[in-house]
Amino acid sequence: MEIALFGNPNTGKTSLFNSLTGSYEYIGNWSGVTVEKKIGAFKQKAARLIDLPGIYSLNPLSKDEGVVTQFVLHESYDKILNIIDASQIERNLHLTLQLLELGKPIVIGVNMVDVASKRGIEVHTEKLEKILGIPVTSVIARSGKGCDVLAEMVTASSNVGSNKSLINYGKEIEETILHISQLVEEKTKISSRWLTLQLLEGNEYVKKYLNDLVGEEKINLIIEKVEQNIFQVSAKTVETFIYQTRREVITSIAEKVIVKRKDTHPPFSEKMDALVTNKWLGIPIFLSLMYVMFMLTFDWLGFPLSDLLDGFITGPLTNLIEGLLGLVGASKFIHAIVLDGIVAGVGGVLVFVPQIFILFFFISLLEDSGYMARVALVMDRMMELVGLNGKAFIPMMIGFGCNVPGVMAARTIETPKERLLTILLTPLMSCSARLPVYALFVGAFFVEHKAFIVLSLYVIGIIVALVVAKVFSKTLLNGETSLFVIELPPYRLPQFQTLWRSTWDKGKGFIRKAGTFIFAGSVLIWLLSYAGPAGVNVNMDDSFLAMIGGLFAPLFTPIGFGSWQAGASLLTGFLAKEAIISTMNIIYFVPDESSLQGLLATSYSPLAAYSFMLFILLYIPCLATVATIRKETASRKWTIISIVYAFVVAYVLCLLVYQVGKLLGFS
Amino acid sequence: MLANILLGSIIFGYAGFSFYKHIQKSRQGKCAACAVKNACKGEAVCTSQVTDNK
Repeated sequence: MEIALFGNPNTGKTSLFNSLTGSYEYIGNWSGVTVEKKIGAFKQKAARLIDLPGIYSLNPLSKDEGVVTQFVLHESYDKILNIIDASQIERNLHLTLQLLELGKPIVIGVNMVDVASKRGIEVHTEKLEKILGIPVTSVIARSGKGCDVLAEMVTASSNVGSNKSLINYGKEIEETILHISQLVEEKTKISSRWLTLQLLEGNEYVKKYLNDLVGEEKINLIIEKVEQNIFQVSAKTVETFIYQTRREVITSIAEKVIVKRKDTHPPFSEKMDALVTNKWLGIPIFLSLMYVMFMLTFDWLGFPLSDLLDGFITGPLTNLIEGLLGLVGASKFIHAIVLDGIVAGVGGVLVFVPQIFILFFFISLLEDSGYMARVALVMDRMMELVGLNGKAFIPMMIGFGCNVPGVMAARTIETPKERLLTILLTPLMSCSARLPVYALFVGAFFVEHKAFIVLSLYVIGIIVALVVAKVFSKTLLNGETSLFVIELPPYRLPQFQTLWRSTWDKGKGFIRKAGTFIFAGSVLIWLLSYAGPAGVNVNMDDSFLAMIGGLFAPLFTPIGFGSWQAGASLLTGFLAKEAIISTMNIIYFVPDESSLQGLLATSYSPLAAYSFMLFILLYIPCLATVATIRKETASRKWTIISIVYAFVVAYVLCLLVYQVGKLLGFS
Repeated sequence: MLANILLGSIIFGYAGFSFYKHIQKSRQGKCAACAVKNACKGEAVCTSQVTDNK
């Protein structure tokens, strides 16, 4: 049995999905976390649950909402589980009424009854059940309360949909429904009532579907006729007419099932929002929180932990491996490849795991507490100046973890122009793979101001994104802009388990990559540094790696790091940004992180080090991001533009920073 | 000698495999890792993640 999970954005569908199926999907306290459908098996039941992106209506506005309409039209499922937010019953019922029109068996879960109760809203589920004629129960998906009852209800409920006719749309529309049902009879299993109403509401997907079934001309004629009739009767468009008819029914339902208490104080959320989304304080508060986050990641907590791990890898672990290699009688070559190549390359990246996890933990904390949605609102004012809006900041924030899901999250944006712009900007966000480079360099050059320097890089990433957006929206990209409406989720105290899952989800890729690609890259880089035109075991300056890196070195001299070592690391950085660190570890083979930092101090000046970090932040999206951009934009032209503009911006900015810095006397 | 050959082939074999896999996966974007890519009905209805309860 296949059960499809429908609901408005941010009503806790993914929480419910995890709770019902026991799986660990990523949950975020903002709209649009699920951009594709996910499938999970029910605990102990022979049923599968399909989690769909959150939508306000089955008539889609954006690409991710289209996923749901396509699903309804083309995939098979047996029942519908509709989750609605107890605090927002009226708005949520719009979707519910459309789902009821599908004629499939439906069970409703009224979620977050606890939050609603705190706001003074009580929902009478029994009354709602009676009115709608389908099973309704209340749940708290986050804590799992009521989920067992809901699971039982949805798997055991009858296989017949509600036959209660809730809305009468008037003679014109009801007759059209009958007419279309005769036309599509035996051609489709989808309810003709639903198909007709969606068609009349202007659902493009449904129109195409019906065109294919009945013929475009017939369909256009039907629409035209209804439009004329409705206009004569009510002086409204069909879309408005249907919407208003539904709204009247919803208002009368809401009056019967919702009880509002008047004795509640203004909720904590409102007081907090007045502060954190304040016109003047919003951005300083956001920056301060970021600063504290970086202090914890780089200074207070992260560095000592990374040092400990470094001590373990370069001490006991290396000794153990050395001992084992001696025991099996490994040759000098094997010794070198394992210790100078793999341990240096992979170990050099793994050392930063604690810092990456601390950063992810705090990003998850900010997301889950509900604060990140406020940041999008705060950023909205700034984003509007550059032809975007706050919604575009959400993919960008996801990009702080990894650019690939960030680019994918741009699907939630409605207008094609804004979607493309967001896709192009997201790679400018400093992803976690760039973090080890910062960690290494701030440790070597900016010991006193680690967090501040890293914060400056993140902020530069955002500022460059805003400037580039302005330039693009003025030149290459013109088009309509959309309105920004964000639902501010209630603040909540994150649960440790959810936080840990979310942190682990974001961080596990880093560890997995260290064991796979970084391993392979380390072996390759080491080989290239071991062999040269003169043979093997050459001086590293005469190796193939030095030759390849040397090709690019002159290009980078004006921006402060014209060495073959920098050239070679930047080249590997295209494949995966972490590889920059493993390449450096192999090139400057030294026993531990602090000696590498010492050695770096002889090759870079602090100014050149800053320029290098800035270059890494901006210079090119990694291979996986480029591939995702290609897929999401479906355009070779825009993929190439995304690479070229990033490189040009990085180069020009670094040139400015380095040359002006030198003039000002920094070295 | 045997240990050297064995270790060498494990290291290079695994490295080659991982390298190839990473490049393939990166180039194809998300779909390469997809468990149901063969049953895929197109991008708009991407069923990219199948998570079964174990």
